[in-house]
Amino acid sequence: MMDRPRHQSTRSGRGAPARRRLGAPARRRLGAPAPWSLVLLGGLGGLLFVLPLLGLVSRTPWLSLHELVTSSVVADALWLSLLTSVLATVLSVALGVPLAWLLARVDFVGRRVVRAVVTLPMVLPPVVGGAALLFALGRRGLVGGPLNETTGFLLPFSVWGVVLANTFVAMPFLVITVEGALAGLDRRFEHAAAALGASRLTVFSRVTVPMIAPSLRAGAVLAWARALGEFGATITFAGNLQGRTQTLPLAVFVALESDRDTAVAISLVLVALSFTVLVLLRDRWWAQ
Amino acid sequence: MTRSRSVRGWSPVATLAAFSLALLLIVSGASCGATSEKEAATTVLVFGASSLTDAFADIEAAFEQANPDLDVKLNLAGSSALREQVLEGAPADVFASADWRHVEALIEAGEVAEDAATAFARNRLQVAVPEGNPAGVGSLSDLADEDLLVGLCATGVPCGDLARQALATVGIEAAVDTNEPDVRSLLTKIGAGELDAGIVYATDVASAAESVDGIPIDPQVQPDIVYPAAVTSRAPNPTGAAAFVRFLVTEPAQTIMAGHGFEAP
Amino acid sequence: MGPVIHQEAAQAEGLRARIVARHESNDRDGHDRSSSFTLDIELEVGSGQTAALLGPNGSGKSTTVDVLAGIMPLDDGRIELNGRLLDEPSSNVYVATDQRNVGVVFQQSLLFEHLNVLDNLAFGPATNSSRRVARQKVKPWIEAFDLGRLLNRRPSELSGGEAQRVALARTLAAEPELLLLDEPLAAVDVTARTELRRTLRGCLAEFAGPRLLITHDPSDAFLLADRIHVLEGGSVVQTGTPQEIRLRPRTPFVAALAGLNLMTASNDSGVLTIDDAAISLRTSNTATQGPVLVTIAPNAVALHLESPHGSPRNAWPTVVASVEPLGDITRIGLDRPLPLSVDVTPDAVAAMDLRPGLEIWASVKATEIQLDAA
Repeated sequence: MMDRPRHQSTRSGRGAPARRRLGAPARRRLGAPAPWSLVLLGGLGGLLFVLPLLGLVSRTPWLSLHELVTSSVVADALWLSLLTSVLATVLSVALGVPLAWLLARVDFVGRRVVRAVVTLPMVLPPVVGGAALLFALGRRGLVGGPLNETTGFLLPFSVWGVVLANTFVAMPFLVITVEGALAGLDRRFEHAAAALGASRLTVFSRVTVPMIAPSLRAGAVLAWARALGEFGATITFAGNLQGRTQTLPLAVFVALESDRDTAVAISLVLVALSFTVLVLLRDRWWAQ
Repeated sequence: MTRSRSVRGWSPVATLAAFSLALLLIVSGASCGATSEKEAATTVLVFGASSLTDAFADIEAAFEQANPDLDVKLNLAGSSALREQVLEGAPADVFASADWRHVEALIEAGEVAEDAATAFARNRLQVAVPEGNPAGVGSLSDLADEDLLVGLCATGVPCGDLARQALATVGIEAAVDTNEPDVRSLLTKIGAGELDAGIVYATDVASAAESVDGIPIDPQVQPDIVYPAAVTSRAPNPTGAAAFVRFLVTEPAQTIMAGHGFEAP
Repeated sequence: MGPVIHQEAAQAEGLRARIVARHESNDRDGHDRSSSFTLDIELEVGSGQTAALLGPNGSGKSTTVDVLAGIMPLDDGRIELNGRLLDEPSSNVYVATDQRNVGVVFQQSLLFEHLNVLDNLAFGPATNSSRRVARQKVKPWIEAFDLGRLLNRRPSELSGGEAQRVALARTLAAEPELLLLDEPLAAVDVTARTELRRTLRGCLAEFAGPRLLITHDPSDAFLLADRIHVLEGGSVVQTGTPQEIRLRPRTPFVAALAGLNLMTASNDSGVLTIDDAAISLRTSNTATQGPVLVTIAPNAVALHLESPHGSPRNAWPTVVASVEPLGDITRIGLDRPLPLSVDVTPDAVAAMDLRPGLEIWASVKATEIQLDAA
C-alpha cells in the first residue's frame, strides 16, 4: 500500500513519454482499475479512522498547545506512560513467549481452557479486568492479601500496579501472535536442531525464537500499543495519581472533566507518540 | 459447508458490500426512528450526575407513574462529562448536576436559558471508610496520614473539588493515593477495602451502607452542595423536560430524595 | 572404517533396531493417500557399513527416521546404537533426540536462516562448547566440504546443492555415532545431484559409524549402499546386496525398482566402457562425456537365439542366468559379460525355451541407453 505510489511516481518520470506513444500498454502496467466495491468499502473503512483524528485536530488549541503540553501533568503522564508501557511489553515478552510456547507445543490437560482464559482480556471490558485484578491482587485480594500481610508489598496505587494492569490487557496480543507463529513454524527445523545435540531449551532460544522473530516483534509492538492506550484496567486497579499512576490516557480522562483544552493537548501527544512509533517500527520491523 | 455452497454464486466482496449496505440501512433507519417527532414528544432524556443514580431510578418510576405519557430515559455520568456531552450537542432534555458551576457553564454557552435552573436537593460530605473502619480513621485530619491509603475524587469532578474545598477550610493537605474519576469508583475502592478513607457524599455512604461506614464532617467546614436541574435550550421535548424539573421539587419527589440521604434545597 | 575384527565388538558396534511404530500418513499436499499402518522392521547396520532403506512414498520411511532420531517414540521393539539402548518401551527407556548422537541429513537441508553458514556449521559443536571453540572445531569440515567461500552467506543465498553440502557438513561436525540420510538428494536438481552424490559417497566412506540411507530412488540405493532393505507397506520385503536385489526381486515392487539396470561406465565419444564388465556399448549420446551412470530399462533389451543382424549395433552373446516369472512378465537374468535384467512375455519364454544355462544373444538400441553424468 505504502510502496505502491512511490513506485508509480518514480516510474512516471521515465515512463511518461513512452506512455504517450504506446497508450494502452503503459496503462496496463499500472494494473486494472480497482473494483468499485472494494474502493467504496475500503474508503469507508479508512474514513472511520481519519475522521476522529481530524475531529481531534480541529479542536486543538494551537496557540496554547506548547504551554499545555509542557505542563507538569503532561510531562509526568508522558514519562509514566512510556515507562509502564515499555515495562509491560518487556514483561509480556518475558512471560508471554514461554506461555505461547507451552500452548503451542506442550499437550497438557486443560490447554484449551488456558488458551481461552489467556485471550479473555481481549474481550473483557478493561474495567472488569481491573476489578478482577483488584480482587486477586488488591490489598484484600486472593493473593494480594497474604502478600501484603507478609511483605507489606502493595500493587494497587503503585507504578507496578500500572505495569501489571497494562501487561494484563497487552500480553494476550503477544501470546496470540506468537502462538500463531509457533503453530505455523516448520517443526523439522527444531528436530534438526535437536538432532545436532541441542536441548529443548537451546532449541527454543537458538532456533525457535529467532525463527519466529518477525511475529514476535509484531506481537511486541501490538502489546506495546495496547499498553500505551490502556485506561480502564489501570484506573480501576492502580488508581490515578499524577506522577505515580496517572498515565496519558488517565490524564486525558481526568482533564476532560475540567479542562478540555488540556485533554485535547494530551490526546494529541498520545496520538503523535503512538503514530511515530508505529510508523517507524512498521517500516523497519514488521512490514516485510 | 452447505451454507457456503448456497451462496457460491456471490463473490465474497459482493456479499460483503450487500451486507454493509444492509447494515447501513438498518442503522440509519433506527436513528431516524429515535429522533422522530412522535417519540421525542414522549421521551424525556435526563442527564444526571452519577451521585443521583439510585435516587433518580426511583424518581423515574414515580414520575412515569404520575405522567403515563412520558418515558424518562436516564443518562448518568460525572457532571463534567455530561456537561461536555451537552456542549457537543447531545440531545438532552434535562441537565441535573451536582454543582451549580456546570449549569453556569452551560448558561454561558447558551445551552441553558438564564434562569431555567432550579435547585432541587442538597448534599453533605462524609469521610467514607470500609465497614468497621479497619484503619481507625477518626476525622478529616487523619487523611493527612501518609500511612493510610486515601482516595479523593479527581479535580474537576464535583466531589473532588468539594472535598478539596473542605480540606482547605480546615488547612489539611491530604496524603492522596488516587484521584478517582468519579465518586462511584472511589466508593467501590473504599468498600472493597483497597482504600482506607475517602471523601464522598453522605448519599453515597447511605447507598453503600453494607460495605462503607460514614464519618460526619464538621458542619462548619461543609461546603454548600446544591443540586440544580435545568431544561436545556435545545431540548427536543421542552414540555416533558419542564414537567420533570417541576416534579423534582414536589413532595413525593422530595420524599424519595430524602430516602436516599439528600436534604431539601 | 575398516572391517570389524573382534566378534564381540561386532555384537555391540553399530545400529541394531527392531522398530514397531504406528505410521500416520500426514499428507501435506492434501491428497487423500492417507494410510495408517504399523511399521514393523528390523535393521542391523554395522560400523562402516552403509545400509539403504528403499521404498516408495508412504511406505514408512519417514516414520523410521523419526523413531531413530528420537522425534517420535517407538510403540514396541528396541533401538540400540553402539551398545547403548536408545528406546525400548518395554523397559521404559527413551533417550531424547539431543542425547542420542544420531546425525540426520534431511531432504530439505533445514539450515537455520537466521544464522550464516559458519554458525550453521558450528551449531552442533556450540551446544557443548563456547562459540569460539565451536567455530574452531568445524574448520576441518569446512575444508573437507570446500565451504570456505560460503561461510558468510545466508542459507537462502545458497544453491540447493550447496545447501545440502552445508547440511551434510553441519551434521558431521556434530560428531554423530549414526549417520541418517533422509532423502538427501531428492530436493536437489539433476545437475547438482551428480556432484552431490559424489560428495556423499566420499563422506560416507569417511564416516566410521553405521550409515543409513533412506531413499525412494533406486539409483541412490544401488550406488551408495552395501546392503539394501526394501520397505513396502511398513515391512521390509527384501534385504540383500544391490546385486542380489537386482537379480532376484521377490515382489513386483522390488522387481519394478530393481529392474532398472544401473551401472557406472565411462563414455568416450559414444563408446561406453562399462565398469567391471568386459564389454563396451555404443550410445548416441556423445554430450555426456567421462564417468556416467548408465540406465537400461528391462524391456529395452531384446533376446535372440542367434546373432541378430540389422539395426541394433549393440549385440553380444551371453548365457541365461535366471528365469523368474513375475505375473504378466518373466524376468530373465543375464550372465556375463553384462548382468542385465530383461523383461519378456511368457509367450517368448515358451517360444525360445528360455532356461538357465541357455546360450543366447542380447541386443539393445543405442537410443535406449540412458546416460547421466556420474
